[in-house]
Amino acid sequence: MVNQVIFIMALLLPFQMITAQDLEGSQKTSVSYSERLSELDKRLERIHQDKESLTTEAKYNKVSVLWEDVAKNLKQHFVSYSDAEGVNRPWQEGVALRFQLLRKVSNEREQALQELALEGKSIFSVDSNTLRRIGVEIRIIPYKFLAYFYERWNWVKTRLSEGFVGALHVFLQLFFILLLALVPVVFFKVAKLVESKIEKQKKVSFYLSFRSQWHRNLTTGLTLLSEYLPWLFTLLALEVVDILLASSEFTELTYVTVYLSYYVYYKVFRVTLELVLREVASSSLVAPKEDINKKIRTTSRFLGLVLLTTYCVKMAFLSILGQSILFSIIEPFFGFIVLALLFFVSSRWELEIEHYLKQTNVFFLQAVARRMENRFSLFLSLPALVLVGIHFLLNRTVLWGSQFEFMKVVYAKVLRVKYETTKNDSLNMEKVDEDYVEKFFAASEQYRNPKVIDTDFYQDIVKQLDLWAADESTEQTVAIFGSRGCGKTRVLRELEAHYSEMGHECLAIDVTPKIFTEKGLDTIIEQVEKASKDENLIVFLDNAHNLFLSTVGGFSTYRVFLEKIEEMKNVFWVATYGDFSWQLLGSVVGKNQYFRIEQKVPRWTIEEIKNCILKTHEVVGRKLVYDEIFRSSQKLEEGVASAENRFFYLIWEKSGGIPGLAQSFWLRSLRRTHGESLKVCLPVENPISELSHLNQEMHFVYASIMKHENLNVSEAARATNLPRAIVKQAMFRGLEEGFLCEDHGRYRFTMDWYEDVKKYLKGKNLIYEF
Amino acid sequence: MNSNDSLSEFLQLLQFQKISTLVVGLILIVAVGKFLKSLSGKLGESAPNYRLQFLQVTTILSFLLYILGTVGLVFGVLKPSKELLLALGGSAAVAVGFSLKDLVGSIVAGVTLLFDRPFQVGDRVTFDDTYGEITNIGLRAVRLQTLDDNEVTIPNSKFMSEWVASGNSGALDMMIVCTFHLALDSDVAKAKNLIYQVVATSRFVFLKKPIKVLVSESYENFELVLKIAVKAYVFDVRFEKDFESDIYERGTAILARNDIKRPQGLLPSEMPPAH
Repeated sequence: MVNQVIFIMALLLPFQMITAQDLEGSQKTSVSYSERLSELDKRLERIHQDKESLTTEAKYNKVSVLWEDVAKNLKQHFVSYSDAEGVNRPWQEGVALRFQLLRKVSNEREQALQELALEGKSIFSVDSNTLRRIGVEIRIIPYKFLAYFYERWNWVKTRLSEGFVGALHVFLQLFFILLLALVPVVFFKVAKLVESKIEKQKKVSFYLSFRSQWHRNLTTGLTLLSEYLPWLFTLLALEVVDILLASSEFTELTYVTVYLSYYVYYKVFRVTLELVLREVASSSLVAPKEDINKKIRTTSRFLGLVLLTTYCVKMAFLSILGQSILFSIIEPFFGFIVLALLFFVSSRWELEIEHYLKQTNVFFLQAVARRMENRFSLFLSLPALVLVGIHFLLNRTVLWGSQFEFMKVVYAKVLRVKYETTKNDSLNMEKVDEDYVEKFFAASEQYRNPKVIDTDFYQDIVKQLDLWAADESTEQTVAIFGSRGCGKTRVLRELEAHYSEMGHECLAIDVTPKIFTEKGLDTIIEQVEKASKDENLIVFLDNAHNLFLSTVGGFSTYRVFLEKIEEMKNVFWVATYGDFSWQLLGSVVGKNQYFRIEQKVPRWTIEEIKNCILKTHEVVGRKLVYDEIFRSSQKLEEGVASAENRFFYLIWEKSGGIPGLAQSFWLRSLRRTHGESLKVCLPVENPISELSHLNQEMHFVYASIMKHENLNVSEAARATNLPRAIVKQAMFRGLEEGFLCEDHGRYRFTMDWYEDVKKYLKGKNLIYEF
Repeated sequence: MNSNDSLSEFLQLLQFQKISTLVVGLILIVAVGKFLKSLSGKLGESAPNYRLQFLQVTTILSFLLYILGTVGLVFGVLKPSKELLLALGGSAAVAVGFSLKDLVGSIVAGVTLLFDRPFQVGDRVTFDDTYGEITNIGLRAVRLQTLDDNEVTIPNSKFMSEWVASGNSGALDMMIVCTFHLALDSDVAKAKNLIYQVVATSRFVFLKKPIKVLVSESYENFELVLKIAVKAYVFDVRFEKDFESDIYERGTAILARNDIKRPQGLLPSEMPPAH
């Protein structure tokens, strides 16, 4: 019955162009017919085998000749079938083979066409061959569908003829197809479930968002996610359906899922476009809010629908024609339609785009905006919109990433590189006045200590001390080490205040530089012995690195000190060391021998640095203006925040999270403007290249100072085993250049230069971190 | 293709335009090679920590530039046919077989050195009786600068058959071994401690890696002595000899100051009779 229906359909098809040749072959017997098909199949097989040795054009021509051969007599077997109906089975198999062959050779031709297109060779030319082939392409359209249905029907019939097992197979396949329809339903349910969970979390984060930046970011992220989530799940469902269909007998049904996924893309596109347009619109404020919202909705719906329709039509053409000459002629029109449409839409948003670009701090984008003011702006509006999209995405990525610590580091490093290569125009401006500097340092005392008590670092030390005080641990030492200005002394003071308050006997000792004779140590030990005579004592030993000098015999005092620690069982020692000193001691003496517990002072976060500096600044009370170089955002209030953030990212990166250094950078960044206001510019860079002009011996002297924190001339000469004259020369040059400062004959690096010199010496492998 | 065709095609290759393009191209390749070398030198100066890495990357890039650049240039400009290549290839095989085999062998060895990496540019190596720093690994030969500032050129093919010892294998730091001899009745523990301190406080020492002080006995100059070998790393191979010198200078002084007995040598009468 189905055979008859197919046959009648074929007769009624509008594109039949039956030639005399077609009818001529209709009288042949079924056996010769099958033989001829087998021969065509063998020809196709031969082409397939020879394809390695054939050029793409030759392959395409050979396949096309064969394809035409198969396609031109399509009518024949229907006519023959009406004669041979019900007569014999081989004839039916012939029909199946014919359709199979048509599909096979069509696929082969499509592949050859694709290869030609990939090689950039034109597949369309005005000659009789091409025109004839276009005709054949049109003529076989209905037969391609027919071939599909016939093959499916033939498959069903063959299975059914196998009896129960075959019937079961057919049933299972059909059941499988029906089951696939359930996949999107399941995914939809899951999406709903996840959405409800997200909604709950969103509410929680929303309330907490007033407390922390993390929750603010989370709320924004969840709001964004909930808009995309159902569609992402649908896409996933369609992908699953596609994979399952590919493993079934009905692979061609995947064409349907393509249309469905287009619809999902349309929805995602609309949400994204609305987001971008809202961003563009918010920067310009050229129209009332209600009008803008309406414009956004209209634009996104219009553009989305037209794109959806265009792509669906294109897909329909591709499904009908496959890769063919005809499709290659039609395809560019879709591109033109989309392009024209984008030009049209972007030209309607010209003003907003121009405003957006102008307010970025990217020179290139600003130049584009200026060009848009000219009369050819219509043609520029689309590329400008693309630039807006890219800028928007980059901004969002940076914003999103800034909640992760490692992204902060990356972003800060990028900013550092960017600003280091930027010309600093503020060098000619007047530096900040001494009055401000004095007031700033005076006020900084109260803000230099962030919530250190809440940190794990601090709590670990407290835990160790508490265990010792409760006689639950025999550990009686903690070494605190860190870079200069990182806050070691402050932590020590904090601990001292805490334990004094709790009623413990405490003794704070600041080791004066440099005690590397046993006589000098005796004073300290006597002090401790006296205080710990009757009860347990906690000693807070600041600058313990002053107890050694890197020379033969220079570590003996430190060794004696370690032995004394071991002897005084009722004393707990909390000692601070400079990080390079601590590492040097570790290598030479073995730091873990007595100070088994070591704690590195953690670097401050960007927020802590920012709060510390801005709060201190507020006390001094001057108006701040950020240099244009830091500005990039669109809205005024965001612009200030963004400029501020960019600046503090830079400061944080340059200072390595060390508050003392950050303060130094802050003061180097301030420039005086009119009145009392101050301008925050790029910090003035130290001329570090000057160091490379100094000779190698001087570098050894500086490395030695870095390892010891501070040295006088004779100590430096002993530590480096260099003549005093060279050491003196190194010290004088350091003072001249401004990277060394002198106090009572002792030399140390100035805070402003500390990080730069450290980096330079590290680069020469003269100092290193373990 | 007969011999006449080959000859006519070969003569076509010798057109002025093609030859001049080839020459300009080759000059350009050499210029880029030189530029790469000077660039790596400058980068090495600005970031001494990565000096050796820059040199190593430049060596690989130079190799690729010379080999791929030359082949690309010849094929791109002359576009020789397959037949001509076969004909020339046959002649070249004979020519190479008889006259240029050492050169080709060195080039092949150069490529092997590049990937096998028994040593790299910047390494301190011992080859045969020569010790010095590898300054260049070229297509044909390796250039080595000895500590007395002589430049030694060794064909690459030599490294295929003979052993070579690299002191630092691409790292900036390198182990140095210094030996002190003590009398048998000297205070070894004290001497060991002093020598350790001498090394640990040297301005050239690289403390990221450990210092080892080892004691052994040795029969030197007809006398049984104690030998203290100290193994430590110098922070930059360029200061290898300075480090050694610093250790010996300060070590000898410290041992003398602390009355650590050194071998005095035997008197002629105490020496065993010569056979």
